[in-house]
Amino acid sequence: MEADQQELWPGWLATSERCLYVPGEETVVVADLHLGYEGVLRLEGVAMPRYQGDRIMQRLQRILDRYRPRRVVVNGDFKHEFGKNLQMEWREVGAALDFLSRRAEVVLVRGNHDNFLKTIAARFEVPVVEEHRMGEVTIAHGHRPVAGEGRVLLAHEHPVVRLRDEVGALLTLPCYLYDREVAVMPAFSPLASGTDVSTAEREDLLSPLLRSRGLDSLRVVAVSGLGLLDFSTVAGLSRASHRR
Amino acid sequence: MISYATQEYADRDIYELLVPEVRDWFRAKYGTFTPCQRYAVKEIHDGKNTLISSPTGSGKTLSAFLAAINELLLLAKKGQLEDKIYVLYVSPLKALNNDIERNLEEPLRELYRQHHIPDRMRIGVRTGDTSQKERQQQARRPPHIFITTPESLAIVLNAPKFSQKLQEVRWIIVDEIHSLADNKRGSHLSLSLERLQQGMRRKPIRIGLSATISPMEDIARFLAGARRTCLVVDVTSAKKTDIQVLSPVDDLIYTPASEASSALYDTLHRHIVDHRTTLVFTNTRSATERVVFNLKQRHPELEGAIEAHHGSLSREVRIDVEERLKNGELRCVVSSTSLELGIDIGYVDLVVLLGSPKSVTRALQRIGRSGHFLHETSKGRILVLDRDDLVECTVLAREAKKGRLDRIRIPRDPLDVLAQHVVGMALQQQWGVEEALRVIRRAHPYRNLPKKDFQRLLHYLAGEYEELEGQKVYGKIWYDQEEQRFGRRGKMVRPIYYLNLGTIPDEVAVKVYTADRHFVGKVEEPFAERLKPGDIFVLAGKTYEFVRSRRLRLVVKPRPEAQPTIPSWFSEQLPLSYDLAREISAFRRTAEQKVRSGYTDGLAPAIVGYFREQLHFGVPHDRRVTVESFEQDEFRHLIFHTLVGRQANDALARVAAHRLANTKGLNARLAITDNGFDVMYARRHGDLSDGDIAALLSPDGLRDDLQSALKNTEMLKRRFRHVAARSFMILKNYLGHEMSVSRQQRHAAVLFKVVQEIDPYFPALTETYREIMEDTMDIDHAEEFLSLLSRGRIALEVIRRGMPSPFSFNIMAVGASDIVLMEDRRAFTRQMHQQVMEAVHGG
Repeated sequence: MEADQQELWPGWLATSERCLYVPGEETVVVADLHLGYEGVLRLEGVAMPRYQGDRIMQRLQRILDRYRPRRVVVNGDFKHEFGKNLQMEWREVGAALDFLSRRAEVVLVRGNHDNFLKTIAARFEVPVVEEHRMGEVTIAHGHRPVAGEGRVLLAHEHPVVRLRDEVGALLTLPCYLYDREVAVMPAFSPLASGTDVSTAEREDLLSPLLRSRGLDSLRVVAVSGLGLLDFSTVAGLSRASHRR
Repeated sequence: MISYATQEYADRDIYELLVPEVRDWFRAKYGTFTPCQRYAVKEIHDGKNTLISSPTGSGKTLSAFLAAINELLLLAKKGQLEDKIYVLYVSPLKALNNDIERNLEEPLRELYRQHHIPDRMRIGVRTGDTSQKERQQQARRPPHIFITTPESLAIVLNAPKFSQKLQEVRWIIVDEIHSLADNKRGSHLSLSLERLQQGMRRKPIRIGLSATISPMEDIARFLAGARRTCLVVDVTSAKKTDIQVLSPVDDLIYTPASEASSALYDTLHRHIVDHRTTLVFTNTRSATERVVFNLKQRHPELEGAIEAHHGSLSREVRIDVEERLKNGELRCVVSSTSLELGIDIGYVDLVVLLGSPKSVTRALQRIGRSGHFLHETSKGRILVLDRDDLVECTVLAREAKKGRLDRIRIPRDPLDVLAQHVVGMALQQQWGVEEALRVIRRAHPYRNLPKKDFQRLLHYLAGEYEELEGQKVYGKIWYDQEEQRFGRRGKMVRPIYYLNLGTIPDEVAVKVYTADRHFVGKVEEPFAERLKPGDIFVLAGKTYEFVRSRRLRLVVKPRPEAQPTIPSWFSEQLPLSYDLAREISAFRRTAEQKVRSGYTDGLAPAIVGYFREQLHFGVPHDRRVTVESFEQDEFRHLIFHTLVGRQANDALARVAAHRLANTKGLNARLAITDNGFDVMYARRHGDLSDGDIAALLSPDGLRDDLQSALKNTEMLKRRFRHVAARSFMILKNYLGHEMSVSRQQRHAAVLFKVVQEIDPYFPALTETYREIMEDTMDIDHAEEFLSLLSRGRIALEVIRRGMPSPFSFNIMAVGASDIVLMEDRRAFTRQMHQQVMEAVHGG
């Protein structure tokens, strides 16, 4: 029931570190880091202390030490501000890229927040691509329709399961979603809020691809303090919540 | 240093002080002085800080102004009135400010018409509604009497030119001080007054005007400031009060709801018809709407003669209602709290309270709105709605007759309010930390402010560890830790201060639409959160059924014929005070003895019946607490009959639930009322031993447990938004952009998570806990109560009868007030996963 890793597709492992690990390709995939989030809030008038940068770096370090990948793919939304690069982003995205590119080949898949990522990435000679293909899998952020054959690995949605017990207590856990064709990654950012998969209506979904397919058939694997927890499918979860 | 006025001066003594013009005018207009004027005018004239507590219509306002007007006229006669402010008048209500201006203008006009006086005396009002043009005029030619609100005062303190005109203020009058002292608006004002006085050569005289309130000494200290003297003039007993408790039906439990409701409206209607003007107080805004709706429906002839008045109505509607009330055009106005304060409402000969006003002080303040002249008796009728209400109001009326008021509590060291003033102070000049602390500690609420808390606040406000683009928002002051000095930083801060100061939190208003997208109105978020599909409620005088909600939008359908089924709007309800709760528990003991012995003289039959039914379960009273344990549906209920008022109960309930959650490894739902609380949990976890139940009420570690209990609650998150906005952590208005309340809420949630993790002593976090534990809840009385319990002064009995007692019904009816989670998140996760998977596979 509780595990550290779970295979989504042959050779593609979901981990409790909110990254995918592909041993055959010596590759790790993370998504939705949203570095610079605090800076964006500050520009809106919120006195937000710095928080994410150090925590994200520590977690990346742990992942790299553990899996020793040859390649790291960031599946979009590395940074948070759409419209420009904040000083904070130059520093934090720069530090993360510096660290990652010293230890592995880095591929940046562009997310909807990454409009100005290229200028930072260029300093480290790291490419920013729309999609990245690995075997039969297309890695794409998911804010735009994905063309092509085979399996698709998305991010963007920040999926979470929100569960309510009999007295009304709420538990929210980030989760992976997957079936044979599509998988969705949880957000790496500790501050990102997400889409609750068991109550979301189709029109609430952010990804065109998910909007067209719906979530019902997807399996749910949640990231928790106990490791990964299998919660059957989205359809199963909503049935269960009606039954209780 | 607080003393009571004992010298009642004769007319002659007071007239002697007045210039002839004022003396003649007064004599012609009033003939003689009222009691509060006899005690106060001479003392104020002699330069003493004075707090005046006196009923409506007793000449209170004039007693405060008379000495000042007299002096100003003397100067005006000599042509020596200078271009500066002599009198500063502050009241919490804009409407009251306009009243006061009118009431001063009139006599002055008469004086100037009858006499040749070279200098004009100018009066000026400044509130949030004052136009730019008027403000500029005031800066050029300052009014001699300046009338304002606490918020506008804080703004003018930082206006470079205008604040100069305040430098020689001689009289400061704070009106309706009872409505300020126990909340953060009052804390805010207390700091403004110290900032104003700081550096003045001649200290102004402070005069406070208050309705019935207790303890008077604390209000006097609040008015005068720490370690200053103040004279109290208390003539509240001068007006007679006639209070009766009425039950519309004889049997408060077996009468069918529709019949009881009819009887209630019949009784109400009878009273309205028998009087000239009736003011009805309900305890909630929604009830206000409901009562008006029902009265109009049952008595169509009242259409146009009865209106609602509450804070959710637009300003225009409220002013219109006030005007018509004043002109005697209305037979009845139904209000929640909005008409409690002293705006002039004309002639009211009856006040009806629907349901218990929950405190003796509030009952007397509300009832005091009737009988406008001093010699008239205030007439109040309390209509009770259920049996708990009957018991409560019976005791309340008795206490009111004896004049035993509940005590208010003044918030201690609210750091969010202080944050605003520190920014304001920094804008004015550079400060040494010690020097600033001296000024701040002169304000009564901050008299014991620890230096460490102040330094932490400076550290937060300086935000020096952030990079440049962050500092624009983050750093609001410059702070040198070495030198222990602080001062202004940057040009952005002044507009931030002006646009964000104030203490009243924005509430998230949820918009209500019909399915075909017609806008119906707004309701407050806590109310919206509680609605279930099918609930029927009244909005803007019409009934609607709740269909569904989507983010900050409710969808309803009109149900014109349906009977409203509004669930109790608990967050909005007034809490029963501790003092009154203790009186009620003592009454319960006497009533129990009477019912046991069969001698029930002086007890209403409904009370006798109620207590007789309760005997089987034990009657909880001031020397015995009962806890009922039983199962119902899928829950086990532990009902604690702790009659200590809702604020103390709130603290007790969370502590008990928190301890239970952690010893048993479960999550609990809470229902909290004035009379006790219900802790519910899934029945599979089983019952507790008597010892385990007693341990839930141990006084050891109360404060720490309460703080941990609050950690994951919705309440803490919501309050954190308020505190963050007050501390300028979330700017509601930044660079000309208004931040929507829902956006504030989302940002506050993130901010809360971060702050909690990086620094448990972050000022906004400390203040959120303090505000909840000390202001919203009543941790001190909770502690006192638990200590009595542990020393055996109050006995604890666990009752297991397999079903709830009659006293439990109203506690269970609340449903849910909050959820308390076990701290072990892994265990919670495991249980939840297990449960969900069982449901997934089970069928």
